[in-house]
Amino acid sequence: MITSSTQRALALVLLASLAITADLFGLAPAGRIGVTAVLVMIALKLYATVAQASLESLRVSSRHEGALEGRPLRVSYEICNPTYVPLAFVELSLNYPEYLRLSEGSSALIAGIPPKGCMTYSVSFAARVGEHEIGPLRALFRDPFGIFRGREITIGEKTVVRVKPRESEKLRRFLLSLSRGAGMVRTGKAGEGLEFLATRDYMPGDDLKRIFWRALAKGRLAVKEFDRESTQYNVLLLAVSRDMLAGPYLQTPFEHAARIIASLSRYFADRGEHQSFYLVGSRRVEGTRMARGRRGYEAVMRAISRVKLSSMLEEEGFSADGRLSRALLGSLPRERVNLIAIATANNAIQLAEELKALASSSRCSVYLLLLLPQLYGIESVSPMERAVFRIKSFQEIMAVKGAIKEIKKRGIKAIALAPSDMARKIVRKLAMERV
Amino acid sequence: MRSTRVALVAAVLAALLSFPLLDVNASAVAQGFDVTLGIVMQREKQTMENFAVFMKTLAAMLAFLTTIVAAVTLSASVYAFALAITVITVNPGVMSNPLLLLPLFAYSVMDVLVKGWRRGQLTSLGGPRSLAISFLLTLSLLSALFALAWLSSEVIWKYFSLLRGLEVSSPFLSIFSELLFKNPIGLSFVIGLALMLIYGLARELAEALVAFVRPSPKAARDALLSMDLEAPIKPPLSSLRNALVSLAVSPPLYYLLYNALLLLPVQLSFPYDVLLRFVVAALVFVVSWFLISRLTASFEEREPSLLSPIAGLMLILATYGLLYALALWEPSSGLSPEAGDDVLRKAILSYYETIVYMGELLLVFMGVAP
Repeated sequence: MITSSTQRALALVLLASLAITADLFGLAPAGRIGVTAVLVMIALKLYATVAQASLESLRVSSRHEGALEGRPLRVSYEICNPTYVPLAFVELSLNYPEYLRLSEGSSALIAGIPPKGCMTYSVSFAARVGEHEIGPLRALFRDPFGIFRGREITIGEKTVVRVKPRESEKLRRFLLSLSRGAGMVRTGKAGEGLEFLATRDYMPGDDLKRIFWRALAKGRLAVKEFDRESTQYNVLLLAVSRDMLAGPYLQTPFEHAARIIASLSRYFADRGEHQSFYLVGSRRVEGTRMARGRRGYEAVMRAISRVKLSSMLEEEGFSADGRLSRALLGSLPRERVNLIAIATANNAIQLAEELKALASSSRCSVYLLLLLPQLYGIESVSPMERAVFRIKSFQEIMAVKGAIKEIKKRGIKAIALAPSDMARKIVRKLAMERV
Repeated sequence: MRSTRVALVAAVLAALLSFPLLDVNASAVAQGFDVTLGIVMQREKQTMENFAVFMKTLAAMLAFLTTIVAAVTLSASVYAFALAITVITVNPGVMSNPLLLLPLFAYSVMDVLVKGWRRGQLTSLGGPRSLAISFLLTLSLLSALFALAWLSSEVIWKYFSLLRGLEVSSPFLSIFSELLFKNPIGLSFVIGLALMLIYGLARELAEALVAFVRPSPKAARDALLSMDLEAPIKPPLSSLRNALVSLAVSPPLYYLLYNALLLLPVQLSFPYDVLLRFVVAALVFVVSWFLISRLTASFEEREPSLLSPIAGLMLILATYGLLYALALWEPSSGLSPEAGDDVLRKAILSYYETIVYMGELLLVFMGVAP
């Protein structure tokens, strides 16, 4: 059975029977109307059968634009009917993950597709970080009177969209202002470099090119000293778990964490520093290679945009089983490394346990950033509401404080702040510890 | 479900309210009351006439209002309500107008559109242009379909009308002619059967054509996957096999039943006695075919139960019990019912004679044989 009848078919048959019977009993000359109704039904059945076959031969191509968080993610489908059969009507509905929100258009619609012609169907989502599978389309043919309906089929393929996090331009400029200029690390010590540091008296062996001529004119033989340039190695680490997706759309801990990582990564890239990124969960440890500058930034962005939110929902939470330590020790350079890990309070102690060994070594500074969802958006409420909220969430904040204490006992520097302050705080700390 | 119930209640209410319109003439209704209730009601005649006019006006207003509400709200329940009232309250003379179907079909189209329409659809379609294309496409398609159906109905209805005036000279066939063509109920049955056959044929033809012209592996896979895994597999030609077995089993049953009917005090003359034989033969064949189909299907199940052999055993016991009751078999003579041989022979001859007679008459009736 290619198509099936709906309840309206029964209504039409009843009407036709009534008209034919009325004619046969001599009540009204309505027999022809009854026969017409039945013939319309037969014609529609023929049409629906042929149209259903045409529906199965539809050609669908898809494309998408806008793969940056916060911008509209537009997905378009061009549906072409290669047959000579007009399709009226086709009910289309789009499969998309429940954690994406439509910002424009409709996820289902009813339309006609002309013979040998095409129609375009497009929707826009409020893009959020991660990898999303959108589509395929589900199509169902229904004749214009709704008397027959076909079998629902899927048309087209899944479209995989990877959305990158958006770093805050304001924050990036602020972070850069902490250093003297892009591409140089402020060590505050004399050495090879381009930025002027100080002058000192000439000593035998000094390069003549460094003589400070203005001082010599005043009778003092001095040389210029330059700020020693250095580079840092940074590892960004994100421990994903199910609770990272809790919260309002685009304001979940995961999205805040992604933005912090994006901002820090951009900062490191602008300064020409080395960086790599690790994504850890209950069953996975995935990392990128250490890379410098723009290449490092691109690799980090790519890795974050490949996080599947659907798989995050299955994450039980991080457990210290040694896999992460082994992976890090096998990939870290010989130079000193800053390891910046981001986790929720639920995962933080387990993660600290895993990173304890690295933190105790002299080659690695470990910072553990605890996301405090309780403080999200608290700046936007009135002081009275803020006070009430603090009282209500007092127990939870105290639990986080307890977790911080536990983490510090393991030799790891823990920071728990609202997301807006997190990047500034960590960059300040890194700047203070440069050598 | 709730909206369906509401629609049904509303339709019944509308039918009750519009009852007077069935007789169209309000005074005729009052006349009917007058005849029934006699002189007592004579004084109330004027009152009844007024009441009937009031009811007619009320029903017409209701029909008008529901039509407007259906057009505005476009909900299925209101649609059903409007449909019921329109059919019941409409003047029978208007029913001959083909335009009667157009508003009903228009309701259906609008209902389909409204149910499928979603907020933001226009944005997704990229503007009103696509919508206009869809609209024109649908309109042209429907116009073509309706025109085709209307023109074809002219020919088909003329054919059915001709059947009404069919004159048959054979006294035997005239019974069937009277029953099937002169009687409105019989003719309704014939027309219904004919339209069902046309529908079934068109459906099979379309599906075969589509499968031949555009074979789709995807559709075939979907059809196979949608089948019930526990469904019994029907072997090819099993219907023919069951029919042949039924033909073998039916004669004794036919003989017993027909003779039992002859014992009734009513005596039938020609051709009604022949008609009775036909009816009994056909009935026995249909019933035995049905029972044998069920019995063989139970053996063909993937996991046959113990019930099937028990059913078979019961059938054998019932047969021997019947033969014993008719004194055609004695337990002392073993399993072979030799005493019933003559009766059995007579039953078989009588049954197949009837069947052949029926077949011959059917061919004559259809104009295939002279």
